[in-house]
Parts: sequence; structure tokens; C-alpha cells
Amino acid sequence: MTGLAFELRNVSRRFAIRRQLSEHLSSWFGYNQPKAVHALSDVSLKVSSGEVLGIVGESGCGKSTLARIMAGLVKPSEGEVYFEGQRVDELGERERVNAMLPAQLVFQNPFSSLNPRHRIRTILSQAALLHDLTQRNHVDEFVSSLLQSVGLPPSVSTRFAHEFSGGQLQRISLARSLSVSPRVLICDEPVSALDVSVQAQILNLLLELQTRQNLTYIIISHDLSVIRHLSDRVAVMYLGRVVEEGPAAALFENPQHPYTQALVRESLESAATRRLFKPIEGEIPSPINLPSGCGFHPRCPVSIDRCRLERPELRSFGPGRKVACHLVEADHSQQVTNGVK
Amino acid sequence: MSDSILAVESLTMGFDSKDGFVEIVRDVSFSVRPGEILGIVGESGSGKSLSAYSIMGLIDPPGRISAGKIWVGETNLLDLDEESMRELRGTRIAMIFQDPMMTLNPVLRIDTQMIEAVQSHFNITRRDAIARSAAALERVGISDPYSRLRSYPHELSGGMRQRIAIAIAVLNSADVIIADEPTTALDVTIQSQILYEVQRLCAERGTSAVWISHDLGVVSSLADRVCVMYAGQIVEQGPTEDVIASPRHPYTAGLLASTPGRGTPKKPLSQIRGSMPTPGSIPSGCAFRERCDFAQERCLDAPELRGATGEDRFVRCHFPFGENGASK
Amino acid sequence: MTTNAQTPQRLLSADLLAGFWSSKVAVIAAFVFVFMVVLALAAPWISPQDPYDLSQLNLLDSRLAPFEKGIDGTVYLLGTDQQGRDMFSAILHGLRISLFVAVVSSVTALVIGTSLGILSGMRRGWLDTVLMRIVDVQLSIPAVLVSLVLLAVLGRGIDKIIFALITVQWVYFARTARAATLVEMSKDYVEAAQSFGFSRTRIMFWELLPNVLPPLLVVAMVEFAHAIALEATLSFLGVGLPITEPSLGLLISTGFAYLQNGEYWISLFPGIALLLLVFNLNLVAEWFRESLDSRRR
Repeated sequence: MTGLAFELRNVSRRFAIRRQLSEHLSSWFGYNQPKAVHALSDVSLKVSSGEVLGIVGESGCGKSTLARIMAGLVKPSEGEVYFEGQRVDELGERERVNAMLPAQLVFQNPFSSLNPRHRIRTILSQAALLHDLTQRNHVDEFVSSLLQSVGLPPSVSTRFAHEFSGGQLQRISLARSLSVSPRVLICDEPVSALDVSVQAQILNLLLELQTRQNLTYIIISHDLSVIRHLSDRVAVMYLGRVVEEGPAAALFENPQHPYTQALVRESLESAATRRLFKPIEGEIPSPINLPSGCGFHPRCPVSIDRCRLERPELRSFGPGRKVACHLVEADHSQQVTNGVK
Repeated sequence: MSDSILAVESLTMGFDSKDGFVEIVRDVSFSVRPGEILGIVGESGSGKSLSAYSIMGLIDPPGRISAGKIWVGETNLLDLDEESMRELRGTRIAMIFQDPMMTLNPVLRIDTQMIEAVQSHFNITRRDAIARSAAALERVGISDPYSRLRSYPHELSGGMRQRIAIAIAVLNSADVIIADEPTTALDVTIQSQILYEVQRLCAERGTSAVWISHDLGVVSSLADRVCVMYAGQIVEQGPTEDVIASPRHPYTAGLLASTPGRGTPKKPLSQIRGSMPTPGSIPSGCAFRERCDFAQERCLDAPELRGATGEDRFVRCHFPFGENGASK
Repeated sequence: MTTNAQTPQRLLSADLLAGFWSSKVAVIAAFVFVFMVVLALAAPWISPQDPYDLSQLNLLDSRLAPFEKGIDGTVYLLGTDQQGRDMFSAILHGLRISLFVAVVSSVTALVIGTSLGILSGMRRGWLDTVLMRIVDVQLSIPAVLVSLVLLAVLGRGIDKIIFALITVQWVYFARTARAATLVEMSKDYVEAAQSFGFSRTRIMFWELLPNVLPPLLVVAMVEFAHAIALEATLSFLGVGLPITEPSLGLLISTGFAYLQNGEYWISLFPGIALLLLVFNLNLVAEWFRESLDSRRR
């Protein structure tokens, strides 16, 4: 736990929606406001090095945008991003990508994240060659040791991506990320495209790599059981904001935000026996037209008038925990838990 | 078989290829009782979806069903011609897909599609058909059915589309719904909404369901009984709670043990080595033996799906766990 | 069930070739086409006469019907034209010129169109808008019209017709390349390449190009046939190649005046050659497109 790997201060990201000509015209006459997708709003996060931060949320919660900001692929619209103490959001694209090379993204879909027309050897060595992390005459040993570190035989290096199964491809994808000696791996849904029996293999590999190479992980998933298994600390996101944050065990045992409570209650575990579902109602709002006040209030079973009018701040609550809910703030969680259960 | 509403007997289907007939579903038998939800669990390539497509008569060449019988009541579906099969789809059995757009036509309004679905089976007026459609939407938890009826599929969210697909499936009071991973593409909170509606529907109307999923969590929370499929065969079958609590087949046990939610956080999960064999390269004897930690010489002979006396449990293994207290 | 649906394959895999050999139409069409290309390439050596060498022509032999004997006893297989030129030799050399014009223009158009198309799909923004509007406008005007106007301004000559053909053709490549690039850009390997700090040029040519190439090869084949036909049309209309470099189109055009005299062979045989070339090439292209599509499914 030496120092911070990442610090995000009030980071927001909006994506403009391509407009039709008619919309351009009407906005000239002041009829409608330019529309934007609010992918991420005012997110502040700290990640210590060596830590595993889990980020959980459903579609549209901004977790993939967050991953891409942390990997240096997307620039925030507002806010500051520090990577290992260096401010990176103000750098130009080139410098930003180079400065953030030690923070690598691992993609969800291994079938599309490897170029189908390159041999595995090329895929694994080209980034390292570009950044002088290996020499051309050492490529063979370099590739072999990478493959070995993800549990694949060196003989696969001459083959193409379509010759492998999903689990093997995800190993190769991991090896490619490792090829630039990263200190941080940002894993965007690392196992959700894989079969159940293969998921465990990749999760074990992730844990093993972390201890062996002392990596920092940011694990992004919709799957609570994956997050719970890997993470030290968890941030729950809803509609572009962090609504709850805290140590994994405490957060899952005693969730405070009504949304986290619903997620924990409704994530289905195979240990459970038959049960009756008690879903929260309503759909996830579109990130184009955000609800007023607390983003969760239209679906919240315990919302009060204040939730509609005023957005709750993410406030500290208990040791290392933060939650953004008026009700928790008002009366240390008693009210919320009573309301739901 | 008289008490079951749908019974599949020794179903075998596969594809004709240049290397001959490749079997994908191998000798699968199961039955569903009225009001029961049967879960079918398997990974990709296990043949679970193609079993469902076989029941619905949706297999196109080069695929074909080479053996078996599919009973709905007293009728063997495999004896029916295309016309009678179409009549049966929707009224006796209905299917919902992972992608609701398999059911919905993107260029037609919801009401047009639902009215057509009703009128193709029943001779009733448009007005009655609309009332019936609205009632079906209400049954799957859609609060303002008449306004939803007037919308196009693209105006609706994924969860809403899936509800409508389910509403169409139950529109003509089908006895059995066959569901192929209908909640896999949905978010957790939306998934539990759908599961809640299905559970309620089956309980209130006595509709049966065959629920196919790769997700043990979904199946174990929903199904009364479960079939576990591996490499085209059923390897274990029984009441859900029993199978989950004490799996007898090493594959079922391995799957359960490798689920991250069950292990201690940060500790390695037990894992099944290798991956599912592809159709055509399935090992002889027990299909699982190459990945099994307990495989012995006898596993070179293919095991039968055997039931223990006095129990509703079947397992395809020479050395099952926990039978009469014995273990490996 | 998701794994096998999207397995990408190598451009010329063994099963593509196996499929080729099992398709009779494709094999015959390709054979005829290759045969004609070989004939055209070998023209200087196999043609009985050099149609450009005026000293070898005898005006007394003009407009002889097929298989007729000339004044010095030589038999003209396909007859002669109004200058006493052996039609068989003229067709072989005409084929050569037609193919040369088509190859140069299609390949150049492929390079230009593909580069602009990939760039357009990668960069989006104003560049994309401008390029694609140009493409749209050009596609809405018939190709013959565009090239007619260009040649009317530029004048005649082999370089000018090649320029005109490139101007017409690059849009087809650009549009296909852009569409394929947009599909590829949504895949994660492009993002991975960006995160490794690869330059834009490298991503364009090293990562994207091999993946957008297959559909472009189909377009290239179709456009090759299109170029041959278009060049023939223009030459026939008299704005294409000069009379000193008679392509198939020009041969048809010169024979056209004699058609009504019953001297069919001067137009007919170059016409048949043109038809065979374009038709067979299109058959091969069609087979290629179908087999690529079916593999993608």
C-alpha cells in the first residue's frame, strides 16, 4: 500500500449526440438544447496501489466510460485525473497514452479484442517492441514467458485467434496487457463473455497474477459475485455516479444505499434455493434525460420528497464507507433497512 | 407419461456435414408436469438450446432430428406436418428467445402483432383480440397496456420488449413456455422483474415452463426441477434444491464449486480444467472423463442415466457422489 | 452458442479454395478469364500479324469475311477490317489495351479509395462528412456521364481515360472501405492498439487494412469488369482511346459502320471477346462475394 495508483477528482464525461439538420436549425432559433449523454457525473475515486477496486453497476451506469478514462483512452469533459501522482487529463493524446501505458485495459469480449489477422506472436510482441521493452532478437523468449505466465504453452504463438476457445483467448488477451509491464490492470467485465466452468479459471489466474506481479486491479462488472470474490473495496455506480463505496465485506454484508440493497438482494446465487423474487420496479432511466435530484428516486422503494428535489452528496459513513442517500444521512441507515425489508 | 404435459423421449439431433452426421443433442429425455418449471442448465455447446429448438420444430437443414419422440399430451410432435405444427405453436407450446426481437417484428406496432397472433388461432373480432392482448400485457406486469400496444418495438427498452415477447407467448394460453436464456442480456434488477413475472404467471395459471440458462443462479432460484447438460447429454437430473445442495455428478459439483459467489473471497476457486469438447470430438465413454478428477478405467464405458430407487434423481456417472452415503 | 458464429478466417483459406473447386460455374468462368488474360499477354508472340505495323497491312485484303483467303494466300480466321487488318490479331492486341487500362485504373482507384475510405471511417467528423457527400453526389450521377464530361474537357489519350476511370471508380472503394472500417472500429482490438500508443497510420494499415480487405477484393473484381466495359463504351462513343491504340471498344466502333453492309465480323468478334471477359469476371466476383458472405454468417 504505497501511494496512490489513481486519483479521480470530480470527473465528468458527456458525449454529444450527433444531431440531425432539423435539430441544428431549431437550436439556432433557441428551441432546444443540444443533447448529450451524461455517461459520468462528478466521480471522485482513489485507488491505492496494490489494491483491488471493484466497480459494480448496470448498463448505462458509466462503468465502461470510467474504465476508458482510467486507461487514457477517453478524456474527461471535466475534472482531474492523476495517475501515480501525475496529472494526465491535461496531456495531449499521444503523451496521455504513453504516460498511462502502465495502466492497461483488459476487454470483455476476447473474440473481438484480438486482431484476427495477426499471429499470437505478433499480437503479444508488437507493443513491447514499439516501447523498447524487448528487442527484436529476444522476441521468442519474450513471447514464451508471457504465454507461460498465463498458463499457455509457447507453441501457440504461431497460431491465429480463431483457433482458440474463449477462455484461451482471454488468457492471450491478458498476456497482451502484461506485455507492456503494467502496474494497473483495468478489467472491463473480464469473465462475463465466458462459460461458467471457464470463468473460475480466469478468476484464479487474475488472483495469481496479482500476487505474483503485485498489480493493482480495477475490476468492472455487473456480476456481484465476481466483484465480491476479487475486490478489497467496492464502488457501486448508478446513472454515472458513485452511490456507495466501501470495503467489500462490509458493503456486501450491510449495504446502505437502497440501490445497493436491491442489487445484493437480487443477485442470484446458486447456493440459494427456490425463492420468490421481490424486484424493484421501473426501468433504468436514460442517461440523456437524467431524473432530478437523486438519480434513483423514481425506482426507490423508500424515496421521500427531498430525494426528488435535492441530489444527495456522497458522504462518509462509518469506517472507510461513503454513501449518497438522504435517508442514510438522516438516521444512520435504520430507516432505510426497515423500509425495504 | 400421462401426468406430464410435455415429454421428450430419447431425442437425438445433429447436423449433416461432410464428415457424416455430427450429433449435438444425444439421447435426451425429460418431462414437464403441469405448472412445473423445469430448468435446463449447460454451458455453450452443451446442446441445451438446440433441444429447445427441436421441440419447437425450428430445426432447419443441415440440422435434423435423427431419433426420439416429443409428446405434447397424446401427440408426437415429430409426426406432425408443418401446418399442424404451426397450429400447435402458440396454443400448446410457445417459445421466448434470448433476443426478444426474434419474436417481435421491428416494423409493426405491438398491437398489430398481438392481434395477428390471436386471430391466426381463434376466430374472434379485432376488439376482443385487443382486449385479450391488453390482458396479456397486464399479466406480465405492464402497467399501462393500451399505450404500450400502440408503440413500436424500437421505442421500448430491452426489458419491456422481453415482457412483451412473454405476453405474446402466453397470449393464447399455451400450456408450456420454452424459454431460451431470456434474461441473459438484461440487467440484474430488470432480470429479477422478469423472473418475478414468470414465477407469478406459472403459479397463477398453472403454465409449465422449460427454462434454459447457463446461469445456475437463475435456474436454482426459479426451477422446481433441473437437468444439467454436458456435451449433448443430460448428466444429472432431479429436484433443484437436492441437486444444488448435494450434486452427484462431478460436473455439476465442479460447476457449483467454481461459482465465485460460493468461494472465500480472494482464495482460488476450484476449477474444472480444460473446456467443453466440441461436437464431433467428444471423447468415447463418459463425455466428461477427460476433465474429471475422479475418472477411472471404467469411465471408458459410457455410463447410463441411472436413477436411485425411491428418489426422483438421475445421474450419468459410474461413481456418483453421495449415493447411500458412499463417496469417492 | 456464441463462440463459433464469429470466427474470423484467413483471406485465402483451404476451405475457400475447396469451395472454389467444387463450384463448376466459378471454375469455368475463372478458367475462361485467365485464358483470355494469357492470350492478351502473349499477343505480340502469338498473333499472326502486328496490327500496328502498317507495312504488314494490305489494303487489298480489307473487309474479308472469316476464313477468306487474302491476296498472298494467308487465311484470316476472323476476317479483316476496312484497312485489311487481321481481326484475330486486332482483338488480341485490343484485349491487351483494354486489360491494361482496366488494371491500372482499378488498382489505383483501389489504393486511393481504400485509403480515403478507411481514413474517413477512422476519423469521422468533418473529413468523413465532406468525403461521403462527394461520394454520394458522384454515385447519384451515372458513371458514363461523369467520365464523358471529364474526357470532353481533358481530350483523348490513354492517360486521360485512366484518369477518368479512376475518378469514377474510387468512390465505390471508398464507400465499401468506410463501411467495413466502421464495423471494425467497434471491435476492441482497435481500442487495444490505441491504448498501446500505436500511431494512427499504423492502426490504419497494420490493424484495420487486413480486416477490411476481403469485401474490397470483391468490389475490385466487379470494378475491374466495370472499367473494361466503361472504357469500351467511351471508346465506342469516340471520346476514349485514340485510333492508334485500338481497344476492344474502338474495334466495335469502327466495325459499326459496316454492320449494315452485312460485314458483321468487324464488330461482332470484338464484341464477343468483350462480353466473355466482362461476364466471366462478374461470375467469379459473384461467387467470391457469396462465399465470403456465407462464411461471415
